[in-house]
Amino acid sequence: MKNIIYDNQFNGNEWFVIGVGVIGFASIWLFPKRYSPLQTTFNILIGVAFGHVFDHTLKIPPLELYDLGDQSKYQLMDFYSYMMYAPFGYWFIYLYEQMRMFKIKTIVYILFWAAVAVGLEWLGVQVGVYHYKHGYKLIYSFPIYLFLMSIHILLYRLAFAQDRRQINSNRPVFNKK
Amino acid sequence: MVVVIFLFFAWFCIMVQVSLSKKLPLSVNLLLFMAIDVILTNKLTISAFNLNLFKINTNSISHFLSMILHNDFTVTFVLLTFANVFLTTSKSSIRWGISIYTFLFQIFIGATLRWSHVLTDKGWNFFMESMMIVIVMTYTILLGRLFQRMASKEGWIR
Repeated sequence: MKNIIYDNQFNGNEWFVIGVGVIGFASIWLFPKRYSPLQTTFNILIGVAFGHVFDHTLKIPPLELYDLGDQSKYQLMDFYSYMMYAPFGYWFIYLYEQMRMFKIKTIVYILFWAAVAVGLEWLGVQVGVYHYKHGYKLIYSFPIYLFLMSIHILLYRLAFAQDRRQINSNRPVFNKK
Repeated sequence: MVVVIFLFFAWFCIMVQVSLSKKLPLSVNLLLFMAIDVILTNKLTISAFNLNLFKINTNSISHFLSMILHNDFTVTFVLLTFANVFLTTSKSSIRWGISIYTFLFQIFIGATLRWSHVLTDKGWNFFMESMMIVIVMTYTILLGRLFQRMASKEGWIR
């Protein structure tokens, strides 16, 4: 894999990753806790895992559709950039349940979040977090977000359905089916 | 042809996991799947592209797909099966048995990657491969135990 160096400075792209990560985690910490530790871990980890699987498939040869950060080579900051996805998974489910976006409203909800994700990715491109290669375009990410967000809701509802829980368990776990 | 072999391995490992009679709760399995995938993906990228310890065959799509199937499904499901069997029994013979199966199966599918030219070793060797397998298995069990405790505390039983 040919290593392309985009810049060597600690600048916009690093601050963007740190800023989004810090704001995201701080907001989780500041708002009232609605979820159990297992549910929180699930919603946080899913974005990190999806990000890893898709990025490490699409950014390596033979596809090499984009690069992350300062250079093509995988760097520590690239790893940290996956933490940026973590709070989004949490807020995605939090608002889904809080606003009761169930049944047909789920479609509108996912479309809205996919648009937000594309908007954030556009910002990321502007500050140099993402560098598209081989004809990749921002709009190609839209169906990927639609797919991943749908999977997220599906898995969350499957794993944390009330019938998977012991009846006499006294710990409050919020999950509206 | 090569992708068929790796599709078969992935199918086999998924079926073994699905067919287990005693399983961890679904939430624990999903969390463990994601945690294993993150580690395996990082391991592959760092050792292949940063440290150049082996070369992934990227000349054909079928070889590349085989690598993705191996990393994202086959190994992940082998480790999931390992955690499910290990953490739902107290018998040490079963624990030893599943540990040996998991280790040897990973050695075997790793060797198949080399035989089918999906991977070519550069600085990587059998000792490093074995150590890596043991480290990832230990990581799987430790995280599995943690998630299992969290789930049982919160009452997630299935």
